[in-house]
Amino acid sequence: MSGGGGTPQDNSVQLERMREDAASKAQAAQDVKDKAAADQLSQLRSAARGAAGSEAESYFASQGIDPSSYEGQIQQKLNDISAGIPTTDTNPGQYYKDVGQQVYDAATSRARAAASSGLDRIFTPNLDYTKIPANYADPTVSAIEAEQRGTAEQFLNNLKARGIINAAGYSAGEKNLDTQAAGVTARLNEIAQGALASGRQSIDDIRNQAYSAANQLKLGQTFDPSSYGSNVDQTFNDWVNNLGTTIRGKVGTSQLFDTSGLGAIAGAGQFAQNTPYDPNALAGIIGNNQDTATDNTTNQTNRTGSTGVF
Amino acid sequence: MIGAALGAIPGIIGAIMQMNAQKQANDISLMNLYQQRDNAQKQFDLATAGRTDVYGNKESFDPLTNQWKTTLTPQQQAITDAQQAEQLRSMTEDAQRARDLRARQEVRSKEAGQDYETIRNQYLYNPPKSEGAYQDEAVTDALFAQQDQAREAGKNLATLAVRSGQSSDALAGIVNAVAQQMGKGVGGALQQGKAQGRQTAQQEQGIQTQRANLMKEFASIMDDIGGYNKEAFNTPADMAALQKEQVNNISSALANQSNQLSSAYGSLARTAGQYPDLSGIAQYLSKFGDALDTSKGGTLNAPYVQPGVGSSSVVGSDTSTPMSDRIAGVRTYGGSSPSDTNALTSSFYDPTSSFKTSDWTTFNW
Repeated sequence: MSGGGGTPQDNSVQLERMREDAASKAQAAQDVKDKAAADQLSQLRSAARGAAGSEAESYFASQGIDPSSYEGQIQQKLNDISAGIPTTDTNPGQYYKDVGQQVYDAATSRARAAASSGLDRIFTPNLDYTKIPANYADPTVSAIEAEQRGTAEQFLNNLKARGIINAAGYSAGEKNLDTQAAGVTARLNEIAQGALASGRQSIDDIRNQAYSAANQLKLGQTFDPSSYGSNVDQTFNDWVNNLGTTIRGKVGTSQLFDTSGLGAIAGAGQFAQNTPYDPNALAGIIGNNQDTATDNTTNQTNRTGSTGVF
Repeated sequence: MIGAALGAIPGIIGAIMQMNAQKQANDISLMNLYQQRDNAQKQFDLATAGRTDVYGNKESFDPLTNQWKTTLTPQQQAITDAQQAEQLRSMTEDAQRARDLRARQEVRSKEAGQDYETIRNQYLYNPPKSEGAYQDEAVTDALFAQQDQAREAGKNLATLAVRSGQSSDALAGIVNAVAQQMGKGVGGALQQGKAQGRQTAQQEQGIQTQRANLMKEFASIMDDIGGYNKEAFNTPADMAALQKEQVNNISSALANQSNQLSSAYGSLARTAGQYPDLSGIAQYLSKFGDALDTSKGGTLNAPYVQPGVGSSSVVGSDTSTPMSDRIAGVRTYGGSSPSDTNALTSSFYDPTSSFKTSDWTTFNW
């Protein structure tokens, strides 16, 4: 405590040392504190991960799934989450929320994607039109048209056989049938296209059913895409086998060729001739009828034979 | 004796020169410290400057209480009071309701998710049939209905024919007429069936559209979580932002000036007691001298170092206030002058050390 005048004591070294010591102590204390905090956080993360793993296994078990079958996916998810948790976060458990459901959903999505992919190989684009093209029913339509035409021509044959029309009249009748043929074909095609549309729809229904099942597939369920392919083949074969019946069933006993006016048309196309009047022929009755009165008498005696034709 | 005395003269002169040089170095370092303190004071003044916002509210720093004080206009005060009242009500009443609402929303969201999945599956995998398929069904129905009617009519006619004693040829004629009639009706049945099929297809497409709309609604419900009652927790944003800005300014100023002062003070401490290297500060001295020379336009704001030949001196006294000392990080100066007895007591004071700061109080400035 001198009053001045002397050279001041050099305490700078001591002062620096004190500062460094203090800083070193503070740093050491902070290091210890930091390490303790880091250890505690590490323990928290480990505990959170362990709890999350248990939760995931429990979730799988609650869904009736053996978690061991998906252990790899569970661990992978836990690793992914763990890698993204900041080391300073004091609540690591929040990152593992619903991890079981996440893994389950992801595995379910993968299973559904695999099922859909399997179906893609079977249900190629436009499979319905590939299997059932627009001209698929043409042979059936042609066959039915020929049958209908044959019936109509039989009517002309009857007229000719009875002498109501001659060759010229027959030819005129044939021409009329030719004219009607286009309309008959159009009607039959309309009916056939409807049958084709139904056939395609059957394939589409199976496809929708298959994809619906694939997209609602639950984990643990088996899915066999080929079974739907077999179903398509079976349905298609059945449809093909019944195509003729289906179209004929719609036509029924209808006579698509109109023969009611053929007698007049044929008569107009021939020379005048005298023939006995035959009401049956004009009525368009098809059959091996005779033009004689005897035949009429015979027919009258057999009238009950037509009962039950409807 | 005289010889011995003469022999000691150079040593004495050398000692005096060394002391002068030492003092000069100390003075320069001290001046550096003062300058840093002045800068710190300016920074502090800037950081603690009051301000008025666009609404007329005033903010000012009270050095006595070391606090910022906000004086609101009456209107702003009323707004703030009302806002706080609403905020309190929000947190005590609305928050609970919001929590309940969120819980219900979460339940609805999960249910909506399941419904969405169901509708989506129907939309994707149970779509309407093709129009052709519907038409085929309708045409089939129409044709079959027509056939049934024709068959029934034919049966009635046949019954009448039999009862009236008609021939089998007449019955055959009836059969043929029925077949002809059915054939003529095919076109109409096709037309009727196709129209019916188209109508059915349109109706089914309408259902598909409804499914699409339902999907949108369910998706909206699913995404509705988290958007509730956000306004209820707003705070007076303007003042909060201003205060935050002030705090940042002060923190920045303190950090900046503390570092500079610490550096300057360290330099002073190291210079004290050490033989100075005057060559390194010769240039600075010349500039400093010009700055302080009133004949050259310099100003002499105390305290300052007055350089002299072979010596220098500090002019004026430390006018720093305790508040500015503290704010600027120069708490070492408990008094108004560096020569105060309590000077240099805080900054490096270590209660666990045997080092006595009183040693520094004997420093001869």
